[in-house]
Amino acid sequence: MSHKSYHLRSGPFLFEIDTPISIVQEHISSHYSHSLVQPSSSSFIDYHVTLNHGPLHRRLIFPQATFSFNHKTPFKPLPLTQAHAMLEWGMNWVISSTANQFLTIHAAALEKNGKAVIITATPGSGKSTLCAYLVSQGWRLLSDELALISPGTLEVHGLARPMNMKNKSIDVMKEYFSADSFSKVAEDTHKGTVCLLRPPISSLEKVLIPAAPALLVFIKYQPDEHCYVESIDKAKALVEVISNTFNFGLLGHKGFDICKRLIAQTDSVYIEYSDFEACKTAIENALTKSNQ
Amino acid sequence: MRLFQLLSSPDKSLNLSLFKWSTLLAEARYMSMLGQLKPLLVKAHVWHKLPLKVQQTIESDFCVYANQRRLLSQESERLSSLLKGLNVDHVYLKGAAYQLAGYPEFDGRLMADIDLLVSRDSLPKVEAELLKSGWIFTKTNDYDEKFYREWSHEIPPLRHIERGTELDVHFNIMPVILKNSPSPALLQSKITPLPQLPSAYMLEPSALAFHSIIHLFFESEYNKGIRDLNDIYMLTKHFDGVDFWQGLIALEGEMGNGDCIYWALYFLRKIYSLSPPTYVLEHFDKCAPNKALAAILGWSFTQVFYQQYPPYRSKLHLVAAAILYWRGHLKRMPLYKLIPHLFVKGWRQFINKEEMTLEDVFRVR
Repeated sequence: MSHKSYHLRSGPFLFEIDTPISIVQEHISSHYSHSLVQPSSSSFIDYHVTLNHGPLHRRLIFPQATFSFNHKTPFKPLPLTQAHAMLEWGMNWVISSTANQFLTIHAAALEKNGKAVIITATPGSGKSTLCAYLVSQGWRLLSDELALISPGTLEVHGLARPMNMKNKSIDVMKEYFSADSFSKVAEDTHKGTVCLLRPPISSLEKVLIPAAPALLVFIKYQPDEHCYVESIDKAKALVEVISNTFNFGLLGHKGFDICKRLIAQTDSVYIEYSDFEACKTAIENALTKSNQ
Repeated sequence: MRLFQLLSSPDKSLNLSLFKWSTLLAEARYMSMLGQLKPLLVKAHVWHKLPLKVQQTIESDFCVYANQRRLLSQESERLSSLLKGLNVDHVYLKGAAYQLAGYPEFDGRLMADIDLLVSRDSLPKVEAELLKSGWIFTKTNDYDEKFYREWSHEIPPLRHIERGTELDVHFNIMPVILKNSPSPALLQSKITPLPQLPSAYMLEPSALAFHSIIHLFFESEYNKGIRDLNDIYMLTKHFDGVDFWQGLIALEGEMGNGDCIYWALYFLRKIYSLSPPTYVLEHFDKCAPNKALAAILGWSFTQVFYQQYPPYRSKLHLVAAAILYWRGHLKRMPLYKLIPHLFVKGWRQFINKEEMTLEDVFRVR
């Protein structure tokens, strides 16, 4: 297939994506159609990304895809069938390793009634799944992977990109999203089976509106626990946020200052859950309490 | 506008469109020079008039520099107390030296690693002490050992096991395998102490520039050529004066390699309109290669300094890169060693690509 070039706006960033790979082209058409823009002389392209076919001898047997950022290739190639997932992971990597105008937390972020909720978890603890569920219930998606905190206002900036569903959560989400929201499934990735879930238009339309953070949620999916909620003291919450921040050390004193102010401004809860509805209610209750 | 034009006339960037800025900054990112643009644009009195997006992109990279600068301060204090205990004088080279000296022109300049020169005699005890303090070798096979220690001018690269800092310990200025490799003692005598760091030194102004110049024009790959040329420009601007230029002429007399200085001056004049004193130009014009070679090399260097960023490469870029690749290798190694070396290197690159996997990188430290 021939090379195609796309200009894709994701919140504060404009990506230019070049690719001849049909699976990536299809993914962009189906999952980013509302984020594509026509560049003009007043467009600032933040990041130039290319997804290409692997070397020629790998075109025939076990075909591969390579990811490059600004004409450099930082990663090993992946199987061609995972190329669209590679685009998503690569974009996350580009933002988290360069956007130091923000404090970048490895977390899901959503907006409800004008307030932002930041959800962190250890990998595999159901952060993205819970995020997708809340989105299906009308919460606005900011991001399922990166909470971008503005150093001055502490507002959370959204990206509104497809959400990364893994393994069992793919089937679980079929109840809550239309079939065309799901991307092609990428099998046998380093995260298992992966599928990307397109956020609703309502999230995409408001992507440029940041939200003030009100609540931090530390989440854990626990099959034998209906819903357990515990409030977290500020010192513990601070440590938790710091350990989930990509550029905490890099920002030095400034990083510490932002984390400290973020904790001062928000409430924190720890939730173990297996029931979506109960978990959502628990977060809503905590949000209401934080407003008082 | 291209990066080399911005570096020489930052004031002309004021009316660029946002789109043109983004292309320019992408080129600077490719050369690892984004953060360096901040002091340049501040000094040219254009910084505060720039669009927010441009400022943010540069500032974001400047944060990476500020963090590196902090880490360098801590690392140099540790190294200093470690090497002072052994009574070993050590000389910081290149990026680390510019930073520790506090030259304001070098604010924002990133370093890939810390380069340190010690005498060959002290090498065994320095290595033993570093290994005891958490430094480990990142390349550990027999071929690398032989290559670095017997043919090059440094030991295999070290990395600190906890802090991840990279350290290159040099025992010579140029590869020891060269027949005419100058004695390291010559440059080691031209040093000046670094304030607040016991037993730590850096090269004197002329020697600093001389070292930077021979390193650039002995290279075989010019991915960051314009960055290194810009270093030399900033050094000449910082030191400009009779002592500096005469020191450079004297060093050339002792250590040769006048052709490297000829090329440095040639491109500093061409790109930055630098105007060194006439006697300096007359002296180094004598070191120019013969006309045919000068034409070929001049063209090749022009390609890599002006058009190294992939979208700007011409169809003949590969030819220029290949000429400089072979020139660089032949300058550093005799042909009978070079052919087998390139073969081994090529084969190992083929079977073992040193890249990260996505799992390695997308992880919070």
